[in-house]
Amino acid sequence: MKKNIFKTCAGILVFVVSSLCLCACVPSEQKYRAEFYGLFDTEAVLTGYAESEAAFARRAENVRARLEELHRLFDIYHSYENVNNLYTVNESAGKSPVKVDGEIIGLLKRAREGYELTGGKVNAAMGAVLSLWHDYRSAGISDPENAALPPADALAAASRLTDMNDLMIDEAEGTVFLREPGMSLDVGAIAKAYAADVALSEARGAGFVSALLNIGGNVTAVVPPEGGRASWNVGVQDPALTVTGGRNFLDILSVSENITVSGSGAYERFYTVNGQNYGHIIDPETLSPARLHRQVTVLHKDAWLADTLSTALFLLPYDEGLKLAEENNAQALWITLDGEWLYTEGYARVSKEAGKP
Amino acid sequence: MRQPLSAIETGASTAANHRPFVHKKDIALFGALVFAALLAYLFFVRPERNIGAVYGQIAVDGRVVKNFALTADNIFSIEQNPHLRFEVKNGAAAFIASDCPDKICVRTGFLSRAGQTAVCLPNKVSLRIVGAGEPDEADAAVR
Repeated sequence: MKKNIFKTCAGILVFVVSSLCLCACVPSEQKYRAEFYGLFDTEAVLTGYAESEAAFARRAENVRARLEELHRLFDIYHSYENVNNLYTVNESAGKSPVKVDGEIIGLLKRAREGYELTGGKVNAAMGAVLSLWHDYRSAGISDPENAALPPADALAAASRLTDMNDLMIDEAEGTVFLREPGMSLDVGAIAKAYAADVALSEARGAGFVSALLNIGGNVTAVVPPEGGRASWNVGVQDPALTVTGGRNFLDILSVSENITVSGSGAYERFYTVNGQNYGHIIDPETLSPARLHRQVTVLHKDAWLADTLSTALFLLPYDEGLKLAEENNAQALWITLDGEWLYTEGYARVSKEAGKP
Repeated sequence: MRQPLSAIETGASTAANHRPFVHKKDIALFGALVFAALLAYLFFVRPERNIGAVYGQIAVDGRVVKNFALTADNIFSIEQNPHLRFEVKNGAAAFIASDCPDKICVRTGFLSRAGQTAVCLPNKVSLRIVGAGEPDEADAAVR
């Protein structure tokens, strides 16, 4: 009898140990997802792995709350109580320096750096020109019959108020000042990625080490994903519809390092005047929407730079864009107006489609 | 009678009538338990499998309000927002009507690949193709 008890105990032990092994094989961290609205005039989606839904919800709320703070600081359309934001800075143009939060100083220093390294192609001081296009686009979308282009003389007048050297940043005083009256900042080409980077870096510091934040199609990844996966899958949406109205992924990128993937295209935000589509990415030289490529996608470890370069590459001819990408260690995919693929070597390495048989 | 595996004998190993430490029945029992766990996992943990491995999902302000199969063609609205209309056709789903000014949601077109999303920003409504367990389900989409 004694032997049988021993055997039974051994059997139970084997079962318990095996069960534990089996449990360990099933990923303990699950993938969760949260959508946020009302931030940066677009939708934001946080994807991440957590040990429970409650744990993910807690982390997601921290990220959302931080993004909301940054959204308020970088908002150029609204003012908020007890906050000096970019709207305040724009309203104070030509009048007085504005005391601002350190994140605004940080963002504008990056914006200036981006202006310099893109040879002025990405200009955050171009608010006067961009707001003209913004107003005509909004009016043209809500009333397509009367859609019109901004008058050339209005654009030319606005373009005289876009000198980056008139943006005065005083780090010691913590102030920002636009010297020219009528001048304004528009940080649409950098703010989303900059904010994603700040929010995710802080979340990572608090132990959220597996996250993917997509703000309006700009994706910032913190790796690794959990659950036995080595990389995140980031889809690149096809700018063209199929004949039956379908939208596919052009490509899937396998992302296994901390990186931001940023896309620039004109197939979503545009309006139509006399049968011609006008996109939202404006060339500072021609003061008109860029029309060189159908879409560009840029990968860079620095979120703000990925976002800046995707705009720059959309505005530059392929050879100049390629040179800029190489100088900055960025990877990129261009879809030409004819639908042809052009890409850097490093792009092909993470791509499921590029350069594959 | 089998000999103990260990060459160096211990007190316990001198006992007579040695049988395999793990009996066939134990293996069978273990197998049955693994099978039961697998069934439980498939039926309880992933009930969404019932509407197909790849299915559509609609969320309003981040809350899922509807999961639907992509296998049957259909046109429908959601009670949370009667101004929006959705269509399922040939295994793909799309916003086909919206009261929003920019119509970006409708312009997005018919989606069929796991991880694709269309969003109506003014209405805070998203349409997503979910592919639980699909190896190349996209975690996010760049556009």
